[in-house]
Amino acid sequence: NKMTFLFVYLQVCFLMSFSTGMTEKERIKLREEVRGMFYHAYEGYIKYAYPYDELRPLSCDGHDTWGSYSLTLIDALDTLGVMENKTEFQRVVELIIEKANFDVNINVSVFETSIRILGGLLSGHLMSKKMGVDVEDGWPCAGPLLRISKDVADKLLPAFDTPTGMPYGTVNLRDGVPEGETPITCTAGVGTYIIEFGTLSRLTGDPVYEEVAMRALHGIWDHRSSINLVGNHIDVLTGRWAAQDSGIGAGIDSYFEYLVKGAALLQKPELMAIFIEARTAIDKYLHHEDWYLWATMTKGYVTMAVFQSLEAYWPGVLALLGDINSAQKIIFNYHQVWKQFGFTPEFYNIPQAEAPVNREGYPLRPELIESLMYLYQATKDDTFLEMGADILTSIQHTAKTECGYATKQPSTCSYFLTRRTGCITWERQDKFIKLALGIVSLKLVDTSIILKLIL
Amino acid sequence: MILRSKIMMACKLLCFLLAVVIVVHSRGPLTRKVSSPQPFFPRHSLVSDFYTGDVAKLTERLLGADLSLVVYYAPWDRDSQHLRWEMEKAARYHHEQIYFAAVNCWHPNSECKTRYKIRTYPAIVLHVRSVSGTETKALAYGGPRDAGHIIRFLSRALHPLTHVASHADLARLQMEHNAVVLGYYDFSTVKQLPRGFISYYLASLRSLQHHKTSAIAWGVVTNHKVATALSFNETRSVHLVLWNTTLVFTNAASSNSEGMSNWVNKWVDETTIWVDIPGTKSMALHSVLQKGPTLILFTPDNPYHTVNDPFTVLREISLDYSNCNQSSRVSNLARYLSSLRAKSRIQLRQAERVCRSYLQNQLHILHLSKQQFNSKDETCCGSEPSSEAGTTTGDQQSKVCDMCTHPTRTLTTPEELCTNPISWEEDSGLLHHVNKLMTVFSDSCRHLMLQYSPWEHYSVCCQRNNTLAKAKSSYIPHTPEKKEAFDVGSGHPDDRIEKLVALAAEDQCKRLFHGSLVAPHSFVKDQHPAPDITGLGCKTNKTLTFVAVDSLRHGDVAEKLGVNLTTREPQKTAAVIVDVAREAHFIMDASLSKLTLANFIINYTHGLLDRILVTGHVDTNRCKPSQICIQELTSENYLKFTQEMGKMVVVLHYSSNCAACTTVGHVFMTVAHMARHIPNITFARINILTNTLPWNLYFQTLPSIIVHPHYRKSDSSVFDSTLPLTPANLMSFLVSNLDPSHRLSLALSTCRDDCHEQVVQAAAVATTQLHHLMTVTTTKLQDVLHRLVKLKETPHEIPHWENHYQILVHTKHLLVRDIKTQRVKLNHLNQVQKLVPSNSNKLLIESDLLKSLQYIIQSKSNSKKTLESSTLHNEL
Repeated sequence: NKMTFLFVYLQVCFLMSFSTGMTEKERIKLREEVRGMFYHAYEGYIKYAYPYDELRPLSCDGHDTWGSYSLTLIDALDTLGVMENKTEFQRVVELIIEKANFDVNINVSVFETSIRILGGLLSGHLMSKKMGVDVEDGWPCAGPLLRISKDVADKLLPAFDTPTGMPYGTVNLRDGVPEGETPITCTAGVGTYIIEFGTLSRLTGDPVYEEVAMRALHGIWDHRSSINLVGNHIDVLTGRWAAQDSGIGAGIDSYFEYLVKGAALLQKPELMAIFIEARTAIDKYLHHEDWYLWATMTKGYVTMAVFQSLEAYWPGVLALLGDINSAQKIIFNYHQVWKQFGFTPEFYNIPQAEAPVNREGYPLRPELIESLMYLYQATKDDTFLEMGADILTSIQHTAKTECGYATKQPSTCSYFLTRRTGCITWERQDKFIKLALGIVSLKLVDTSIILKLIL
Repeated sequence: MILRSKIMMACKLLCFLLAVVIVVHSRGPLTRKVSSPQPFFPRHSLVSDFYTGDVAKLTERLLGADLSLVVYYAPWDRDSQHLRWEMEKAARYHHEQIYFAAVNCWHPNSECKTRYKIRTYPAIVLHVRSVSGTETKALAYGGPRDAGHIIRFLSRALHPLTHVASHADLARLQMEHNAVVLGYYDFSTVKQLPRGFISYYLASLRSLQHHKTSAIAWGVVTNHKVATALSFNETRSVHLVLWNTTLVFTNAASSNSEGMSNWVNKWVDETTIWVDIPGTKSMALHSVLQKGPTLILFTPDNPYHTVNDPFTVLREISLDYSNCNQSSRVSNLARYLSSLRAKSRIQLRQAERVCRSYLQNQLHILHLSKQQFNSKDETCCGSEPSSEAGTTTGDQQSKVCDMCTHPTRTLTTPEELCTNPISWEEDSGLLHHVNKLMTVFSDSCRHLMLQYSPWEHYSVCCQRNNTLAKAKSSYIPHTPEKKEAFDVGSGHPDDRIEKLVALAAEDQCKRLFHGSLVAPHSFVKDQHPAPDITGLGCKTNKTLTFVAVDSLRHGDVAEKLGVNLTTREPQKTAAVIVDVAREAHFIMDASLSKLTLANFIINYTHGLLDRILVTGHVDTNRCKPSQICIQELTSENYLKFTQEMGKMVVVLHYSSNCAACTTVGHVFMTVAHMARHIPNITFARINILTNTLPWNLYFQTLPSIIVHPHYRKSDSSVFDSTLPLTPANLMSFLVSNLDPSHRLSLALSTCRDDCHEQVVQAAAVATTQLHHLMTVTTTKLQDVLHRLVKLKETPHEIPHWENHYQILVHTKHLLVRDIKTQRVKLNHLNQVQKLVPSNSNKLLIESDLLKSLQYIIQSKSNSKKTLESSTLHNEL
């Protein structure tokens, strides 16, 4: 049961190919626009918000959202690498090494800490050599950033100590799982560790991280329904589902994403086998006219016909799988939504073709552009470049502020930043830009960099 | 300059910050209100911009014109932003006949936003005023969003009906269109419009939406005699004249426009169609291809040209091909088409002649503007007196401020636009082209900018600003330049008919010029008569469908099929047969003519064509000898490369669209590195997404690794995809496919420090063992010699003396030989111990080592015999 990649001859070139092509000049122009976007946001942060965690792009000041770690720096590190800004990369690495101290009494989200801190540190670590950092002997299996990553991961490990192997959602960096912490974790919060933890295990040689991540992934799959669907939230102590809505979006999304990416990165056919089985059920119960709906996990009855902004990662995953045809059909739907609103709203009612009131926000989510990047890299079809350019244009038009990029909330005709969205703003805009860069074929970014560097 | 850029900057900030309402929270603003709507089109644009989304006002204006083209846009939308300039160009062309408007249909709470739901911006809608003048009928335009195609759509919308006054008119329509709808309406009896005529008119407009490429003509018969000749029984009846038959719409009199166009759409039957790939989600091409084998003709569909020679050739061929019952009607039509092609070439020459003098005038003006362009960006427009007062943001600098409020791209900073425009030299090729051609421009810079997309980049700074200020002046119809433009055929501007003639002449020249900018006329060279293919379509089970695809807009489709359009004759024209069911396609090599196309079809029908294997572009990077490199193969060199005798080729079949392929690269590289000292082994890879291979090399799963061995090429084997792809697994797979000598050298080359020590140790152990063995053998030999001596001393007394003697002699020989080989072995072992460096600093002399080890291997096989002899000896 090796990963199977279907390749359908001819249809690839016939199904949809519209672009009249983009000249090299236009391509470079787009790339430079994206670079400009990054520096606009990055310099905004350095100027107005450093050394706080995050920038608030409307008031142009900084605030701490997590601890006082200049979190944005960790997030931006690999983007600096992608931009090939060696001096700034080296400066930031030094700053991170100097300031890193995770022995503090705060409660953090296991999920966010893994994808942001751990992911940021690990990709920074792997890029160090290329960025001209003096790496120590034994790199990539040794190095200050790797040690910090290990330290962070060790502090997350207590969350995985449950009867089912599925982790708690929150952990205290000093004391482990807090007293009275809820055992209910969303599916994505259970199954989104294998890339970072697997990488850490392969680099340090300590198998424990990969093992706990795999156990959590299997934990979810072992509790799937009789029709192979998984729910939204699960009790990590008992394995009972707390929310039984099944879909591919919020609460579940990155579980599927990490199955595929983990399988590819770590060469784990067993994860691919899970994904293929899960996808068969998804296509059977949730897939309608290239949209994905929500349904009950037990019977597969449709409950909500909505498209969520978060779901836009799906065509990218299919592209990674090699199923370009399906990926293209789906992304055309999502792109239409973008063309309707200038962004993908959090919720989009498919039959009525509109966004419900109060669900129209857009916290600069990178999913759609990530999918476009994979599709473009797979097909080199300029259609996807054009779609990417559409996205850039509208972001630049509406979300740009004097010192960064703000999230969108057009239902109230305003852009807003709550504490929560403010907290994710940098990460979103950063990843967004990274992916946008990938799409203008500067480099493959993000996990792909890890993919390429790991032996 | 500085002042200007500062103001530009200020304006840019206005885009974002103007009218911003800041909600103050404890630590700063958390929300920002959306800025008030800004004009989207230049201030003096020919397109009225309702940027506040005021639909009521728009409707009022729409009722003032017969035809109006309205764009419903969103300011953030990239396509809307591009469409602006295309609309300007289209408006330049048709503003005298059509009202152009744009309305911001995104701005929250605007009337447009609340009233209409636009699924995809921008929406282009043609509004047709009803006869009563109280309402408009909306027809959406879904074609390409460039000026040329919009202009073509509008030209057709202006003249959707053709008067058919004789049988010859019908024949002409039939030649120019795939199908003709004919309506008989009697205008003589009533003062008003005949009943049903409005429906017929609207149906013809409606058909523009469905048939974007003028496949269907709508004719009107008014004369009773003609109607009878065309077998019309009564007024208000509608016929559909197809290539092989004529259908009668029985409900014509009682149908509305929708019913009529539905009927036409239902029954229309064309032997050849243009397939329009719309740019949104569509299965247009897919659904055609699924039906069966398809001949696709890639040919430029120039929106300014009325004739398309390659397409007409295709029609001729397709008519003959589908003419199953040898109908003379069809074969005549095909013959007419042939003559039509010859005629249209002559007509084009004539038009070129007619337009020449007129265009030369314009060329002169173009030269003037170009010179002004070159001298300095200010002078280009500076010489023009500004007839307009300054705008709100500054009087003298009105240009600048307009620029700021309507940037083409919000991203580019004003400075960038002004100081670093795409250089003149870079566009010199285009300029040269433009220069060679004639122009219908008047002297305004703005015209240049709007008519030529290549100039847009360049001229942003000086014209876009300037235009706004001076645009009006150049549009006053009787400026000297404009007058010049009308002086083509007549000098009597009051005469309405002559003016119409002049206008038509001007229009022809305009089209000629614009068309030549898009793509030259392509004409097919017909030298030899084509073979007869009449009715071929019914004599085969591989019946072809004929479609044409615009190679100007969809060249990439051709490219993906492996057609290089640039080398084609006539330009950008290629014929491809695609057979999806058989997963094969065929490209016509010869340049297009009726003869070659017919031969191509005949060859296809008889199965004489070879399947085309698409080849990706070759990476020219040669790698240095010191590097480990994986050669990138293409379908062209794959077989030659892998089938070379004495060379083993390991090929990784991958595709750029599978994630698993991205993570096997290092495994493959590692193995290539390990195997680098094996002679005559090459590692290569092929991207099967861009390269098609013969079916025997087609894999269901990717990545796949195949080994083409050194000699027995038919014994290629594929890496077992159920095994994890690790360096160890891949290596053992490779080794299992090596012949012994190569296996040995591989074993050696993978031997490093640790391994060396082991070899040295093993050699030491083996030496000791050999010494021991030699002692044993020598003792045995002594024993045998001893017994031989004894035996000789006592001859013939022991029974079987002869046998004993012979066995002993034989054993002696064997033992002597053993000792010899053991000595050789010992010698080689000593050599090995010398050659294998005990520390890594010493250089390893590979070839020597290889030689020694080969000896050892050989002697090992000898030692087997030794073993046999010793058992023999023991038996004694």
